[in-house]
Amino acid sequence: MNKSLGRQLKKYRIFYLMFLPVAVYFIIFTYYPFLRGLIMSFQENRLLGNRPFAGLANYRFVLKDSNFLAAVANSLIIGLWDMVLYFFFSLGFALILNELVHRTVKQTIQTIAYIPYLFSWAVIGGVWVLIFDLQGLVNQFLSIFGTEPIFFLATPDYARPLIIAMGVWRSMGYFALLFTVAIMNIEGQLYEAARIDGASRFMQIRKIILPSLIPTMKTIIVLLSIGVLTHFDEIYVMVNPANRRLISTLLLFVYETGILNFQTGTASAGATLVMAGTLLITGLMRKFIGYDKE
Amino acid sequence: MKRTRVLVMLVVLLAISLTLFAQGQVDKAAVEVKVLAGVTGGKDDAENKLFEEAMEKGTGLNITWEKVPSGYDQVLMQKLGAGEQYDLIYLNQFQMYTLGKQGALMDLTDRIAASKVYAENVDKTELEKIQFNGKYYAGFNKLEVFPLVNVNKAITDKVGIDLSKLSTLDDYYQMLKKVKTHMEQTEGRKPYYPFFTYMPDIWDLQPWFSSVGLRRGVFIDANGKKFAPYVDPKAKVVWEWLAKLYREGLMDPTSFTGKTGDMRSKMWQSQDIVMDVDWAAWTGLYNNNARTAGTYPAKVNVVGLPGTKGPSGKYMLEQGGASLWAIPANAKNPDEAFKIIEHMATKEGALLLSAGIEGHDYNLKNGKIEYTEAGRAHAKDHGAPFPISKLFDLSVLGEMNPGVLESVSIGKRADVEVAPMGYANGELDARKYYDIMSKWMTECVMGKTTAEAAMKGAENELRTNKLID
Repeated sequence: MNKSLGRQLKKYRIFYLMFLPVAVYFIIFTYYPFLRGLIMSFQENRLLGNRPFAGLANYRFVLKDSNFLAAVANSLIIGLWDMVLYFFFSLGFALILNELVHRTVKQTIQTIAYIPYLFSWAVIGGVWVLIFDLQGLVNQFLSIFGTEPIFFLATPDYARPLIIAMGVWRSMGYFALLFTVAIMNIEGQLYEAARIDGASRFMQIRKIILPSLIPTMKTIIVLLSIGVLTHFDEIYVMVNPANRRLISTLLLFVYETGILNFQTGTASAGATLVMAGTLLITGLMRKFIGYDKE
Repeated sequence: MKRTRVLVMLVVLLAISLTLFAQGQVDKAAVEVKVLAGVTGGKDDAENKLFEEAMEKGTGLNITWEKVPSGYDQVLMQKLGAGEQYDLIYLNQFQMYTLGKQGALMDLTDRIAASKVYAENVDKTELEKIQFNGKYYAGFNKLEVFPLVNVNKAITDKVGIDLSKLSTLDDYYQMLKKVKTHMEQTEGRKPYYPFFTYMPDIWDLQPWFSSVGLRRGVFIDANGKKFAPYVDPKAKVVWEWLAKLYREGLMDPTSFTGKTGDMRSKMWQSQDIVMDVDWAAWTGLYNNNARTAGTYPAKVNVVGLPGTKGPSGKYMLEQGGASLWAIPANAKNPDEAFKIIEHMATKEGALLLSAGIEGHDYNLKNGKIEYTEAGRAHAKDHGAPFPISKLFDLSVLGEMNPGVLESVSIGKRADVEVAPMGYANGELDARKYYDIMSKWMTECVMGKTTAEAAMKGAENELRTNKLID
């Protein structure tokens, strides 16, 4: 075995050498900080000097903290809704886009849908405030019908839907692009054969496009499941005292505890739990969709 | 021959000692004192370099003044957490408590007690405010002022309101009502919300809670029990008053979602509000901005008011949490770092931290300050608009922004009590307190629940989180 590994390494040494910088990069910037964070989660909250071993105290503290538990619930609700809506909206959008015949129109719509993905969350937050503020576009439109203005940004009923919609609006174009690329890779002969057999366009979508997209769907589902517990930026730009109870997520908890309060041990314990939760969700999702099967 | 030999030896000894002395001087000067600064310093990289040089000239040290342009708290945490060594760091009072408890800061008690500069320049009452368990872990960046009620008199004059007569919650309510009616019916600005209060940190409410003699934060009673006055049954009337303002359209709804910047531009730029609670310095800044825009004093003429009179006949205002300088426990040059802390408390340091850098922000003509264009743009603020040195005469800075001195002088009135919020001897997790209070009390002010229920909910959550006993 060792001989074989040695032979392999020797044979493909040039490729391994090419891979080396990438491996070093990940070790330095990903695995080392992660390891440090993991160690810190078992230490007392100290920013400088020696950090005495604290055992599981930070984990016990976090798991008893009502704010953390509320953040778990909020993260799951927002994350899972986002996951489902990102998936179906982007798939639907890609399928509709594929039906457009005019190339320029198709590309223009695709670009418009993709552009929000390039914006920072701060910009998107500003745009959404302009749209949903008390004197924003939506309320101006509603006023035409004599409707009283709705305070979307500070009404608890709208808190989660707005955050979820914000994410969908930003990312739909990106995921649709992934689906579009996969659709473009479908062999033209399959459509040709289907047409000869008299299959309608709807039938072609159902029997050719959707089955061909399964590998892409699996990849996107795994990517989305990785993001379920890691919503932060959109929350950070939109949180206020009126909606905090409903949209405060795990990473906001970690940020406020670790950065603003210098409780590094507690925040690291929270972050490690987020990591473990993400691994669990992703693992379950992989199993559920049969990601590793052919 | 013998005499010549002695002379030669003396010359050699002198040469050696001079060389060593010079070497010592070079070594001393070569010590690099590393400072991590938040707001204090130059306004941009170029000016920060000049600020660094001015600080070096003032202290005789070799200083690296690293000013973080934004997100200071995050940078401070990351740099210290990563083990980066600094000799001096800028921090706020809450951070001082947190890092002091963690043993991350050097104990400065003996240094401060022995400092002639501090004895001459710093008020003892100010020093007491930053004591933590009988010790000092930091020195001052500036003298903290206080937020007070700011009212645009240019608007209230139109409806014939005598501002000097406002002293109860109802007085202010009636004033806001009259202004709303005038602005909506006479000036056609509908809807007009005359009052903005920044709710996220329940920051600006002290002038109103003064009416019932309560202060923000958590305090410790005679039996050692922690309590939060804002959830005391006496506070109910103030929460109900705020809810009434919101219900009747007297409070700007964006108080819950907007930022302080929004509030300020509504005050002086668009005159969308007539009243807020903001720093005493902002009374002047509102007017100065309006003067630049050509709207002072016809459209904007902001004046500071002490708020509402309490049961003891006094007005209670809240002093801002101290902005401080501390020496990290791993600092290499604590002596030099303390020298900088001392310099900032002197009159010379005060001039640098307010007016700025001579030759860049101002020039001296016949002993008087003449501001350059850069100096005027920097509005006499390089970290300390109100320096900590009690020997520093603010009048040397020249003409102040309109209304600012009057606002600041309110804090010195015999019937006004200015004190910091309750930190429960440094034990309070201020961030958690703000979140819990603002979350519950926003529901009350927005009318989603009663004041009683919101106060009970907040009290329970404060207790569950061990913020109160």
